Amino acid sequence: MRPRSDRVPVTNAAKATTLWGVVSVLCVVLVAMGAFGIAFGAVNIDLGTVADVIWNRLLGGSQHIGGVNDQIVWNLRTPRVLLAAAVGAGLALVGTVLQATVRNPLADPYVLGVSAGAGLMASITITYGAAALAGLPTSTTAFAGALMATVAVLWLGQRGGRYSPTRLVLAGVTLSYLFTGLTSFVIFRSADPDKTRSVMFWLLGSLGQAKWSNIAIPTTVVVVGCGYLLLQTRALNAMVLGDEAALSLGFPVHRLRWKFLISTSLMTGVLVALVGGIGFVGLVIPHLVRIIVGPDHRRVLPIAVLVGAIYLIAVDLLCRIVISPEELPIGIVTSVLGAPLFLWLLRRKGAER
Amino acid sequence: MFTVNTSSRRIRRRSALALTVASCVIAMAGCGSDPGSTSAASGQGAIEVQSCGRTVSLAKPAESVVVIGGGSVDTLFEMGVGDRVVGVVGVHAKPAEKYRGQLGELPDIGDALPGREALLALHPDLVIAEQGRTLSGDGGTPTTEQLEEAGIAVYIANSGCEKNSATNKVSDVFGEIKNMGALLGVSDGAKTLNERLQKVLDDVAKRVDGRKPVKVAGVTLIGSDLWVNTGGLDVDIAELAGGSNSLFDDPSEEFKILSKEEITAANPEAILFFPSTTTNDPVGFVQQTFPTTDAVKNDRILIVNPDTAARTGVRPVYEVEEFARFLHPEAFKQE
Repeated sequence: MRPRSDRVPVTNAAKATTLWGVVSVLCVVLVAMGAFGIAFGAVNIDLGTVADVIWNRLLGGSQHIGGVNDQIVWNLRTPRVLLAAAVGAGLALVGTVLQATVRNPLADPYVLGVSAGAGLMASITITYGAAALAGLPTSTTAFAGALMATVAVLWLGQRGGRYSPTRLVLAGVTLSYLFTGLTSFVIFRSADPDKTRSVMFWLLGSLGQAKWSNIAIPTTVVVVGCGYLLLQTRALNAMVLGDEAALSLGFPVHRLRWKFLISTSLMTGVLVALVGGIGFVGLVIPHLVRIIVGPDHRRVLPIAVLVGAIYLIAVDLLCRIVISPEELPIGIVTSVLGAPLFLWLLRRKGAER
Repeated sequence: MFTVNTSSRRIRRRSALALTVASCVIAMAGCGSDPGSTSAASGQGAIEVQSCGRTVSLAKPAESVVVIGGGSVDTLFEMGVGDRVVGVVGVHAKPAEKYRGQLGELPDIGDALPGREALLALHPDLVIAEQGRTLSGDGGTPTTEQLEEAGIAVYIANSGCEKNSATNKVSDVFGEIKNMGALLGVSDGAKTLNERLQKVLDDVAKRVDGRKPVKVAGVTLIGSDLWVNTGGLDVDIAELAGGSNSLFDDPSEEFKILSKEEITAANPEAILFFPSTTTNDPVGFVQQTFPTTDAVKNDRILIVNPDTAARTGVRPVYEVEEFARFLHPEAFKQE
């Protein structure tokens, strides 16, 4: 007698259909959230004018071009929303990949000390002036700091050319403490309260620097990173099982781990250099998505990318309106929202996954 | 709105014409007339002034102004153009009480820092900022470039440029007032104001001349740190007022963080206390922190209200007089 089951078997085709359904819905939500992000802010601009500005800009009309509304909608809000989407997607992607790569649920884009390295160099540039670091702007020195941290962690985290997840995480956490301590020293020694304040703004993160001329690089890096890492979902699934299991399935674990660490560190470095430290996105979003769709990276990765983008656009909008006309640094809001959300996720049924 | 650079001769010609009509401008502004009617200098050619290495150009005098740095609002009122102020961002300072009522209800464009969108939406002809860092793009502030792209001229006081602030002097305010007067088309109002301020400084100098300088410590409380004036504007104000900063002089820096022990060991004769971090009892704080100093023993403590702070305009000059009255009260017995 055949065992009876009330559950209908779910085929791969059905799973794929469900995935594409969810992705489609999230794409619609992303576009809607982007529209909200552009339509609302510190200044009330009626939706018709917002639509006119966008329409004229996209289709070459002349109405509203060059005016205050055009400046706010097209030159301030639109690149900012695009950057928020790119950064949110990038951080969520990197967090998801790193959690699998180092097999540590606490891993986030900053676990390897990338953010702390960038923060140290940014604080030196802001406090002592660009001349102290060969005249380079803050974003460039921050990226150099991120690279420096990456190289140091990869060197410290390997033994005999192989990377141990535990050693990598410990090296990253240790270097983070070192860089954070040095950053505090630089701030402490600063004789200028204005510069101290600027360093604090940088460390807390902001999308306020977004403009058409500087969003191309982070956007391209995130798109290319997504393209590459979304093709690695099977390898990520195998790595979660452990090195031996992954090797037995035919995945060159050590080479892949090196590739994933390099690609995620570069992505993080580019994002942090422009927007500063935005915490919790890369930690919370992957866990949230796993609880909803399960641990399979073929589903987790694309959905995390979309949810990350939607989340950061929403948080940035909140930052712009909550103490309007001034702005909250985005790192404050991502932490204040992220911590309770993470704790709630931990308490939920199904969090064991 | 903006024009390209023109010759300095043209500026002088415009200034001369502005001088001719400025008395009317001041009279009309003083009577609370329509701001639009005060722009008698309109159409007289381009106005250009230098600001932190940039040339600020206006085709005609600014008729709507946003002031970033509450203290500078006083300067505009004293030049006779207070009614052109359409927005104020205090940056921890407030306009003088007597002018607040005249400002009326202004739109909220930020308190500690200007909000980017709110300032753009107000679309003034001119933004006057005491400090360049308030237009750095940090913390939701606009950048100078963003404002200029929207057709808003930006004048940053030279004392607030990205340079060593330890070189700032009280005498710099005369150039700043002249520049503001030019941008607002009231060069004669600015000239009259400068003459009056010079008289204040001359009077103080005459009164403190020959008196023994009082050894001061200018102490600002930020968090739990004590920032002591070592150079720049605040030291110059104290010295013009008959004080001496010799205990802490360091011409290379404007401030230095010192410990209680270092300040106590220096034994200042008077303490100018700037409670940047809110303190319930600032006099009590100074008394408890430096109980053995001559300043505390002789009750020579002056609390400088942060609301009255300003890095340029009329306030540094008035502060010279205020400090002189505190340091040398006997010099002001015969008013």
